[in-house]
Amino acid sequence: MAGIGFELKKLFVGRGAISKVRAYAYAGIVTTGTMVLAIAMLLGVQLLTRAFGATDVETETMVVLMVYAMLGSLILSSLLQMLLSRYVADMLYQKLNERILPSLFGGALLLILPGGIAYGAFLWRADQIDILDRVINLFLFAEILVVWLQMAYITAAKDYRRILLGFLAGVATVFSMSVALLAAGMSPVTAIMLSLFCGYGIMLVSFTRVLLTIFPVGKGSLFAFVEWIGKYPDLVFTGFFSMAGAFVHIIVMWFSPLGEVVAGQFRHAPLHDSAAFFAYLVAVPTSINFVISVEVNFYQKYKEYFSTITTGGTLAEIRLARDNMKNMLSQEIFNLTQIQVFVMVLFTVLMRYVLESLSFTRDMIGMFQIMSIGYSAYAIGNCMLLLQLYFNDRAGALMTCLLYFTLNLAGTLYIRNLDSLYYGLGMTVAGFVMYAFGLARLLRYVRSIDYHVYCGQPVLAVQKTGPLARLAARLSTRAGAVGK
Amino acid sequence: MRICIIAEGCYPFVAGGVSSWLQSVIQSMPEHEFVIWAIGAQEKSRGHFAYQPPDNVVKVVDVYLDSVIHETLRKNPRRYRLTKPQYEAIREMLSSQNPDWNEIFALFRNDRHKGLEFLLNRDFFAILQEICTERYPFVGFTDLFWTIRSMFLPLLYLLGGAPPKADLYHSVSAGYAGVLGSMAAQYYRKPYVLTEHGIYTREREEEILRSDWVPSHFKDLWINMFYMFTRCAYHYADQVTSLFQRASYIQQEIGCDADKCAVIRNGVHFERFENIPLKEPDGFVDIGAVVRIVPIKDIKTMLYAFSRVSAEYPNVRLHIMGPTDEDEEYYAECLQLRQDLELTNVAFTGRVNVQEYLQRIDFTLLTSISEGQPLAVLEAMAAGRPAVTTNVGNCRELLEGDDDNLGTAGFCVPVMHQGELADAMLTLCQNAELRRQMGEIGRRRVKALYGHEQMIDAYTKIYETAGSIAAGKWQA
Repeated sequence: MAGIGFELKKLFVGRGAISKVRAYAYAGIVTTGTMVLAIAMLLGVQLLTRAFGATDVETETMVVLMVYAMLGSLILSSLLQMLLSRYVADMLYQKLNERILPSLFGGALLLILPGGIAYGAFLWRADQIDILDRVINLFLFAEILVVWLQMAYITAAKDYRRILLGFLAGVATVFSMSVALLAAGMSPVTAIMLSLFCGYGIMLVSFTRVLLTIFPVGKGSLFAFVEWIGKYPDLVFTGFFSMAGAFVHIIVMWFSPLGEVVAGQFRHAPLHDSAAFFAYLVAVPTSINFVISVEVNFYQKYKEYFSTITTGGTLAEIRLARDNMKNMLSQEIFNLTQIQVFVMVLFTVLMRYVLESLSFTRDMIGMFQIMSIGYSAYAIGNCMLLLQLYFNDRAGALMTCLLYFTLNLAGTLYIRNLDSLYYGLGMTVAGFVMYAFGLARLLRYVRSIDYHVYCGQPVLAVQKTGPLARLAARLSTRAGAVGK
Repeated sequence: MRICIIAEGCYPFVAGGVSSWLQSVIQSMPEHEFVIWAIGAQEKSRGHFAYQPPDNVVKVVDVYLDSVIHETLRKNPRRYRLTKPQYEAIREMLSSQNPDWNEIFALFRNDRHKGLEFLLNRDFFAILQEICTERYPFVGFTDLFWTIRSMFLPLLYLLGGAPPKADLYHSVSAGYAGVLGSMAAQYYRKPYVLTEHGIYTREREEEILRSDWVPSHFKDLWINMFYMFTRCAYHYADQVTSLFQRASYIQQEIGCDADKCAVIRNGVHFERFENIPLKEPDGFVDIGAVVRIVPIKDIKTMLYAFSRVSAEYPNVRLHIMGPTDEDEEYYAECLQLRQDLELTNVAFTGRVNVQEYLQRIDFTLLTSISEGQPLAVLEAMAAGRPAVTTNVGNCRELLEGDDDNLGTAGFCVPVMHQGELADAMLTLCQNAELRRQMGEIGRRRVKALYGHEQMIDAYTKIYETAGSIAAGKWQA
């Protein structure tokens, strides 16, 4: 009787590696920070150009060019940002550092080419704007796009001091150069575009240098990450909807009674836009809080839980670690909410005086206040989504942001023709639903986290070769052939 | 009648006792059609048959335990909840107790993916946690999880296969074959016969205890699983046969109903062997061992013992006849040992025609650690050759008889005992007259008790009995 039991050992599969998902949640937060920075610059240069006596048309042109370049590149980059973060995490885990930077170049190329053509066509038709300004703006668009993508990589660097210095150098350049160029009498639009281009250029260069200190230039296909699109298609959508959801109501309002054409197809809704951008700043404390508190307290318990699982903990130990983690999670969410509510109240009340001094109308202040509440809900809701990703509940994350995006879009489409009293209500309702749904889903998922961790491990080691995996394989063999 | 033979790890892939027996049984029942449901360990043995199935084999359905790792699950595995009886049955199964197999068969039958998906199921996980809490509170849960998953993966995979249609199911061992036979017979409401040549469960148990790939605190889990498989087969079988009385008692001890048990001795074609002439004296004594070169046959002890014989009685030769490809690593070790012991008088002949080769043999040798009722010994006895065997399985009764007053046909010595093996061989080497006497006793015993016709008649009768028992059962 030939030994069959003996052969079973070949089926005794190794323990699956526990996920390394936290990296891309982290990138999301860094992106929020960058966005806040961009909005701060947007508001800052507006004040600056007014001080130098720019006309309304010039200011409007400058603002729409900035907003379009920033939002356009942000939303475009969001298609790949989460996916690339995941790719980086996987490569780091497999110690394939040389395959990391090529994906940044590949991702940038993949987005810049079609994105640049589309945005270029957009600019082309806005022929009221000076051609030079439009050309600089096109380059600015491409440049910011790369900076957004770098956020997916830079978090792995952990060199926060140099990252911060990069940001500061960029912002300092923007403002000092703007002042110099405006004082020298350059047209305000050109001056600001040029300064922004140089400021973001400095960020781009300094981030690249940080990246080059930790990753080799690398080798192999630039497009190896394309396989990840096949593996985690949901991350493309989650990245996109969570980012686009935060701004879709602004775009919809460009087509409301408040909206107007600036040049070509460049539209804006100045009253609503300003209110929205100021309101977005309310999300800052939650972003910071998430990084500081979640990293320090929750992550500790999270790590303990997973290490109990991987280092042979008994069921009782695993359950204990899980309950500790669950309690810490609830506590952290409660804190996060509490602080956000507190900040929101202060912000909506106190900012009113700042905004009045910036000659905001009562309607605008009303919109600002509604949207501050909305962005507060969104900020916490977005944290729920990031926490879902910590637990690898990718389906939950996708549902959470899709719900937000859809409700914000539909709600804003509905209220845009109502009285201006209701403006901002669409995104606020969407934000609350996102928060409620995200929280419920998160807590439900974590309740059975043991099941998800264990039974989420494939029974069999399945190598899925979809069309994208084959495409990536073809691209890398061709890259190899070129290398020879 | 169409008979489905369920063979695990032997026919038609591996040459050996059970396989040869099966081949000859099928050949001797030309009035029946046979379907072979063969369970192999590894896919790489697909198509490498050691036997050409006879003409009355209409189909060979081969499944391999490791095929499961090439299965791909659908992207979104189905989620299903278990009913209460299902939950209870699965709980019993996963803790290797006494499940209601009908529930399990009905749940997984004809759906390969369902079994695999079950390992992703919430109920599976809940049951696992229950078992862990009750029985393994101090064991690493992750280890337990993977152990249970990999223990039951092959079973769930096999249960999902479509059973071939037949009028009677006959497993030639317990284990996976026993569970599949039970399932098929239940499904088609047909009689089911189980034949055990060795005692499957005991063999598995020894194998697992020796193995180094099962962590020691999970060995009982694995062993209990195989006991559970065996109890399943005993429960559903209409007739359970063994080769000798002691084996039958062990079956009853493990849990088989004594009413079902029957002893059917192995049978050999006496007429093919009785006329093989004794070897012409040529100054040498030739010893033959008809064995596969695998650890369970303990070829190494054989070589050590023979080297002692060779030292005292130089004119001796050993012919080890049997396939060498089943465990090539072990074969290489044996070749190395032959060289180290400087045994120039040992030949590994590979698979040979035993009837022809026996003409050159004076007596035979068997050093197995485990046996049932070895055909090789019976055939040599039929040819008038005495034997030296280890005291395993039914060997002592073969040589010394069981109340037949015929006398002794060879020497039976303790397992792995080089000294007694060597002494027994020397005794036979030095005494040609003793060889002749013992050979004659053996020939008479085989003629009287181990005829091929007798065996075939007995199985025919067992099939009839099982058929009528089953008919009664399904009508009720």
